[in-house]
Amino acid sequence: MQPDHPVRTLQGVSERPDDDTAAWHAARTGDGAAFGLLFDRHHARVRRHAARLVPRPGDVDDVAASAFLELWRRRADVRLVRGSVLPWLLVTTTNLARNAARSTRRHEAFLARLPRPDDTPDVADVACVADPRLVAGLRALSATDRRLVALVVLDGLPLADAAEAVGVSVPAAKSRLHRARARLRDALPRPDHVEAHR
Amino acid sequence: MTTTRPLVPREEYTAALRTALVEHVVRTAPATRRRRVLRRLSVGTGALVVLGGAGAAAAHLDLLPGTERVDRLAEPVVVTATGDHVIELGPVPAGATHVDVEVRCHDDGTFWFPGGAGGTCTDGEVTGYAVPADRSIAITTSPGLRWTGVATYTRHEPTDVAVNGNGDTYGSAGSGAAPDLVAAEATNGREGYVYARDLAGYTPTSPADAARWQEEHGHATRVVPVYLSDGETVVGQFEIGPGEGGGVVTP
Repeated sequence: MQPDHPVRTLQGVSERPDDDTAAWHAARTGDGAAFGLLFDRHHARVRRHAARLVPRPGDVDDVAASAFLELWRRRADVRLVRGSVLPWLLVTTTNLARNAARSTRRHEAFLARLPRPDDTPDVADVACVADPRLVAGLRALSATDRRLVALVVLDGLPLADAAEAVGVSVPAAKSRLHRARARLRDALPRPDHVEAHR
Repeated sequence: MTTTRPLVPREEYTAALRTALVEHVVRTAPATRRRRVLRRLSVGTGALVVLGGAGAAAAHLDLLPGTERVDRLAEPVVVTATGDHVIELGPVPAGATHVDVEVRCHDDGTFWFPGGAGGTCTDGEVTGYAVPADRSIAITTSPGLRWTGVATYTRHEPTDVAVNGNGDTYGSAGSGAAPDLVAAEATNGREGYVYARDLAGYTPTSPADAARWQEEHGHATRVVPVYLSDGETVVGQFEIGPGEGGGVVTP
């Protein structure tokens, strides 16, 4: 996996071309175009994340859509991590995936107006299908550990970003991950199955 | 989700989801950064006499006597467009008198509602206005301006003006009433009232009317006091005539 390399300027501002800061500030005030831009940037990734965690394939897209609805509904609480809204979206997706039926019910009226995608998983999607053993193993973890595993192990987010996204220190995140990996040893994908991103 | 939903190709689903999310955000966004729409009623060397649009009344001056009560009669229709576009609203509901339109610009530019009201906007700025009920609302813009419009059938009903201790009526003149004291914003930003008689008994009825009045009377600046509703306590002044902005007559 290639880590992100934000460019430091004299002002100390990250200048990654996909920095969400400006778009998020516009989107949270109701700028639909800015929200659409964030959707374009992150929907595919959020959907893949949901696909790894949601047992019923038919629920995957609704969970991914709900993550964006939650991004808007809870806009006052959203924290960017190194200028990206993606970690917040992935944490939220992890939370929603734990009980997809219940968590998407809040948005039932919205989702009911959408069509359904008529497709079969392509080659790229095969690696993004939820493993029942993993799903069961994640359910046994604490919420924080589950989010950390989902972000770092399944989605390949840098440990520091994941730690910030879930609100723990980096050393604590490292320790938690170590214990969680031990508990999930047989269920976790091998490192070469972890998808590179960005 | 157990609802029966049509099956479509993934690309189509993703596009539909994106559109629905954008509309959801626009439709449910709080009414921040809104401003009163200005209808330019006179021209000249920087001269600007302005009247607020009827749509601004409900948002800004709920308690002002003489303003309009606005009831929403249908779900909002949301469109996103670049450049000129006609918002199609479907059949006019019974009782609808207006369509309240909000335009959020996604670039800096200029746009106009039907009837010629409009003006400049900046990226992210929202402008509200009410136009007579019509199933098609044409928005014209400067070339390439990206914008999102929310249009809603509404019923506007005027409320009565009030009477102060001196027996003078006061309130908004925006709903067709003719109070003695007309709601206005002073040059210092304070809100109050000016005597209608101080406005030379003149209320522009159209841009052409205002331009004609400006031609005949607009070469000198007059300053009139702005009062509280008692008609006695002065809180500021209102300028009439050429020159930079002279306060705002509140609708």
